[in-house]
Amino acid sequence: MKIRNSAIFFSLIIALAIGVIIGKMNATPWLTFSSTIDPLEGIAVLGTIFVAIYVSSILETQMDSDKVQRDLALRRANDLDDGIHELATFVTSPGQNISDINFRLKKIFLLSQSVNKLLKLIKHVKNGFPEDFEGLHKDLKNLMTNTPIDQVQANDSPVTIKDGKISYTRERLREIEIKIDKIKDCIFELQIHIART
Amino acid sequence: MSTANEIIVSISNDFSRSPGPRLIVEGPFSGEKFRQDILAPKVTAALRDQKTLLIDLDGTSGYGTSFLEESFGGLIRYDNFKYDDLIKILKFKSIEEPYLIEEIWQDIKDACEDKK
Repeated sequence: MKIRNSAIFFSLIIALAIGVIIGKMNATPWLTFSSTIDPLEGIAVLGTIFVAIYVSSILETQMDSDKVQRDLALRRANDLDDGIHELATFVTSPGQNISDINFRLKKIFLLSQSVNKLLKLIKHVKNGFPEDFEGLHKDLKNLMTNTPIDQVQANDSPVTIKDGKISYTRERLREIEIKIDKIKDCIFELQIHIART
Repeated sequence: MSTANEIIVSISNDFSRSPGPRLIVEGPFSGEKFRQDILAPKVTAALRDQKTLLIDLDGTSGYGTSFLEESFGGLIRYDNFKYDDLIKILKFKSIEEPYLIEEIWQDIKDACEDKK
């Protein structure tokens, strides 16, 4: 609203300045202006003004809409970043419940889908995530929630679950950390990509 | 809710909104329990009555890899259902996480390969 008011104000100042300049030029003896207007030229001028106003208002609306969608996508990408940071903290705390881990992983997937949907709405954005986010998410999920089929192998498993509480070997925790770092990088690149759009 | 030609199983309504680990010994709401108590009997019924079995995956707090593998891979591994029969009757619905459907079919195929 403020921008629009100042644009109107500046347009009036410019129109006033043009009027003053034409008035001064009219007073000079060697410069003459015709007092008649060719109707065809008049129509052409009005048409040009109409097209200029129409195009600028359409473009402005499109740009406003893109900006809103870009801001929403960026906010969603920030939520996704928060989600993965929370998961990184959560996984290092011992005795977490398997269903809580499942919930956090699902939340991250749903947020990534939400970002992708918003990016598709912005006309000139061609790419979503810079890497295969779904693949990274699947790898992380496997590292965090896949236990052996055979109970005999369970003792050597990097992931063990007892009474619904999950625990990881130190080695598996490192693998999870590395995968989470890759996902964080992917989200960071996405945030830069959206901000530059 | 099931229809004349279709049996519907909603995991969130018929089993749990918070699916758990792979095995019963690992904790509550396991894939093993879901397979034994709900899935395998429904598969048997669907094959007997020549109906399709629609599994609705939406509405839960999320699935671990092991839960789904144990539930669906276990149909081949422990309950001795045939891959060709499962292809005929099983259908999945997942609006929230559509990639799960592909993952489940892969689990079923892998279990079938391992059994050969």
